[in-house]
Amino acid sequence: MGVYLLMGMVTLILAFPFYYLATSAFKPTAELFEYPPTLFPREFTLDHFPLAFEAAPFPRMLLNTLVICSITVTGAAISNSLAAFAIARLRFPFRTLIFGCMLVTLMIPGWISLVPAYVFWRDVGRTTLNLFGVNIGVNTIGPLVIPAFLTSAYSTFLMRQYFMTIPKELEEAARIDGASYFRIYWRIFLPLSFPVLAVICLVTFMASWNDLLGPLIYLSKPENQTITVGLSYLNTQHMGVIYRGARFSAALMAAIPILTLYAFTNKYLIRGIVLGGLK
Amino acid sequence: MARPGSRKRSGWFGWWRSPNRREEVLTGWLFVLPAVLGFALFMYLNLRGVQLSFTDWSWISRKPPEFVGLNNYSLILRPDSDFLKGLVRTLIYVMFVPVSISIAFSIALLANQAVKGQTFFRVVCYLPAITGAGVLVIVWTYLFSVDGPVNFVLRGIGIDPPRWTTVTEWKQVALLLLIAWGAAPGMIISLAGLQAIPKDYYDAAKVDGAGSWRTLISITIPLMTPTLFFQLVLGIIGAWQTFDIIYFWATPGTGLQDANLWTASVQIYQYAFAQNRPGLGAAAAIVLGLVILVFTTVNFIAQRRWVTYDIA
Repeated sequence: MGVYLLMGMVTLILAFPFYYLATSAFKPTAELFEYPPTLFPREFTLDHFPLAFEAAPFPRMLLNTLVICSITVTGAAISNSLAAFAIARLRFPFRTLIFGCMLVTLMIPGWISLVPAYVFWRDVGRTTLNLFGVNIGVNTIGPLVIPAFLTSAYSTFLMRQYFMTIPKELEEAARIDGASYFRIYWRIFLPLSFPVLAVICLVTFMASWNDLLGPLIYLSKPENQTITVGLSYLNTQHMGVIYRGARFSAALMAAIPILTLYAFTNKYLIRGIVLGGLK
Repeated sequence: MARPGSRKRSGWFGWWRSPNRREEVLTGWLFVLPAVLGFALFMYLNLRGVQLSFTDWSWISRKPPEFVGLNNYSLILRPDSDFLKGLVRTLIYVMFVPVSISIAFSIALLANQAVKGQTFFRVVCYLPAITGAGVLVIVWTYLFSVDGPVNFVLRGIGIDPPRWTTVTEWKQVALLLLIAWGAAPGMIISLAGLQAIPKDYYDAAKVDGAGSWRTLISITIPLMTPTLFFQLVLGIIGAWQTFDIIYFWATPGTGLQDANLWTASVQIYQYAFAQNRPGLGAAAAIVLGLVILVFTTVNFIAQRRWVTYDIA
């Protein structure tokens, strides 16, 4: 019984801020300032949403974020699974060295590369080094999405651990049948590794959705910004009391897509992380 | 000694002669090419970061970075520099890491109970990790506002609530409460550690007549020390880089604007972009990196005193 009491308390503490957010976004301004605060909204209003749209182009920002996240997730899924397959299953010179180098990058804080990375992407934008005539430098989504195609040590490591557990017999049989290594990766390893692939996609999606520093420095125009930076606009430019509800509604818009995704995928995420034993 | 077909016998380029091995090696290199490019870019940027930390320039002028020696470092390491103040402030979050880990560990003990609703509980516990700092800070600002629910509860139990959103020290406390709340998802890692403990230990403890408290102290906690150590190392590295919540909570223009809350990383951002002194920002980032290196090294040395890798 005591266990349930404790679990109930923890659940209440963890869930209340979300409940408070979801209800406050629909309370009229007058009710938001009432004391004692109302637990259930007495009145229901949608007025805060247009007000939030005035402060920042949120629908557009949601779309931008979705585009950035989709490209990032695609890049991470392809690059990390390919690298992990090679490191886990193929024998080639320098394999261990390459894997070791990747793990070393986990130890170096990203802040050191902040200024040089901005210089780098600014210079990329200025040169003809652009991808098929498309500018990929500063003020485009290039700096935010391209690194995802260059693997991340954490995701590659997680996938490698998983690939190591897949029995060798499967690929040996496929080799005897004349399948290429790419075919083995594509037809055997990818389908079998769905749970860990899901974890990597989710973790990448969340990191990209909630990323603040990247869009903050690389994107400048409000209509190109992501939803996370959009939230900070409501803090910096619209401080009047009438914006209290608008802030809640904007926060709700930023939270709902990712909470919905989590609602459908928490099974994979939690099991995957517990299995991986790593965050 | 070499088995037939082993690499030793065929030499460095032996793989080229067998079509099968050739395909394996070339496919392998092709597949890790993005990783190698990523590593090369990462190393280049870090070395460039070191180089730029010895230079002075601004984003607006077209003048190339000018070498100024250790000037940036002497500026940011002056006793009254904003960066040093930020670094000292960040220490609060670093020292809070053990508290966060204890919270995560306690919740994991709860989530490890074989009761109905266990899965649902784990799903709820991970919620804070899903939501970004921007959303959380907006909710937190109003939870802790003068007329907010937290103050309502505090007044209800007879406590005169402090001014969470105006006094720097109390803003700090509210932030630490946000971090404590956000520590719950860490229970996933503790849970993985708990589930890796062999059942035999608990059976043996039961036979010896050990109570649940005794079992926790003598079996669970010692066997969990490697996991706790792992969380401590990563937690401290992360805490030194605390940025998002401070940016949302305390940067200019926010209702709660307060430069007295800026951490080292917020100051790096301010130098590099808001104040248009990228050289200073680069140098500050290097100093932060060195501080993290020192803390991580000390952690690894100190672990010998408290981390148990096997119990007899």
